[in-house]
Amino acid sequence: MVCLPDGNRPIGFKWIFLLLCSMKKKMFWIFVAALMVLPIAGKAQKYEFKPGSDLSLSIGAFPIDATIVEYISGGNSYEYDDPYYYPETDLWRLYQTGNIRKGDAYITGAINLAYTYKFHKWFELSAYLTYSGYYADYYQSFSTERLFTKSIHSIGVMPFARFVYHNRKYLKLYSGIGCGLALLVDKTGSHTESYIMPAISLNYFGIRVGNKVYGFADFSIGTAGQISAGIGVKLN
Amino acid sequence: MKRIIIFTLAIFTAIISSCKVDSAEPIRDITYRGQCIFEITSGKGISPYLVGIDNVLKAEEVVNASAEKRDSLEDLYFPEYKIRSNEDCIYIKDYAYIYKTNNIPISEVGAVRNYISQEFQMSIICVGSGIYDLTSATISPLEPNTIIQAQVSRFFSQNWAYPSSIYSYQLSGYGLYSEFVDSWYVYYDDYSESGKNSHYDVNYSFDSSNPLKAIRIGTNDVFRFISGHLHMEVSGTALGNEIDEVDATLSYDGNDGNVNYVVSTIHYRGETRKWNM
Repeated sequence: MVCLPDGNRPIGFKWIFLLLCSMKKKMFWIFVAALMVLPIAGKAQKYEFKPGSDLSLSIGAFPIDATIVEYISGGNSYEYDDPYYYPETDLWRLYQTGNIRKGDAYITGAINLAYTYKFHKWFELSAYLTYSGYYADYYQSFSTERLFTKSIHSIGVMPFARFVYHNRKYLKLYSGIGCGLALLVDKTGSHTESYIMPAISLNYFGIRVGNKVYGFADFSIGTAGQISAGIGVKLN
Repeated sequence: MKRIIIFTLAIFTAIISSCKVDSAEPIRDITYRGQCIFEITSGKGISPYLVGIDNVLKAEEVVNASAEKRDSLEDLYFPEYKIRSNEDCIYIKDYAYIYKTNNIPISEVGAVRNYISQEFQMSIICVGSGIYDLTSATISPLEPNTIIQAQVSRFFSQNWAYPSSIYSYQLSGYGLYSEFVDSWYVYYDDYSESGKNSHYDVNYSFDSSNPLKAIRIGTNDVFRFISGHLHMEVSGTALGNEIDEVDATLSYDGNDGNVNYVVSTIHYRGETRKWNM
């Protein structure tokens, strides 16, 4: 899970880009190391493919969904059409609506539970269940009195096709694409709004190490997280 | 069994892995609200009248100027407007009317003018050398309203950066700034009831021993308050029967024409703090 230092608010996509670059640098060397052992691992393994299924769980950083939009906006995504801001312009805002401040804000990232069936040595089909959440309390500006809570919950279901281009017993390299739907529940105080949104994930590179129990890392663009890592178990 | 345990641990880790991405904003100093009340009252309640008296004095100067000076004065004081006049009225085109109730020059005691703009109207009576009584009347019951019963004293204060800012003004008397809001867009249900028919009044009084002083920066429709004391009493919907009292005392560095910075000392709900303006 990628954590941001306290108090450092991102400056839009530039910040995310820099973060991804720094992450990618570390992952790049892991990738290089993996490639170096690849021929050895490949030659060492005598591997006969058997169709079967497995279950995996991963956590993805910065999923492209409403939670990250809320985070990037600093929890102020409503300020432009809402009387809670610019309290210094009117007395009614100052006394009745403008006196709020945001408390600590949390995001979960994308938590992905996936059931995968391996049809062929080069093709797998997964069903993704993804949860992503945002949570922040809002307080009275001049005291510790809590006024309301804002939370966003996104639950997505997505079929995902995975193409394995290097398949050995203990090492697999793959890419894939998935497309589905997500239910978005945006709750502010007692006000709740729900939407159905598209859930899309393009996994441009993935690496899986292990057999019956395995670890994996995915580099993607979409609702499953831009960099995700997790663990999986073989069911049969 | 081993695989189930590992997977259960992974699920548990995922559930507790939420991450703090923003720290809470700090609790604001309560005097910030007092400072806002002063800025709203002075900016919306008092400043328009000073703009009015300033416009009257400058428009008459333009009208009474010799033919060769008139255009340059009009460009200096009213660069975005045209001045037209007849015996009874001076018209600042698309902006305000100045009716001459009598024909005594505005600088002489007894001169009476009625200033009518889109926002308000007020009468101006010259009661001394550079001293004017301002009396206003409310126009709309729904828009922010302002009433003033004040005396302004005019001082020359040439500002080289803003050649049109030739006067500063000093105020005594009292006034009312009032807001009424029938409804607004409510995002948070928690406040939906309090968001209807809210009404706020600020009754304010100038301190004769430390009068509020202000200067117009350029030709903007806003005056900058630079020194003096203003006492404000706020009543309204969210306050019930309570009266919120605010005292603002301003001081500045520099001279009237070249104010470097202004500090306001706000006394509100038992707390006192200085704010830069």
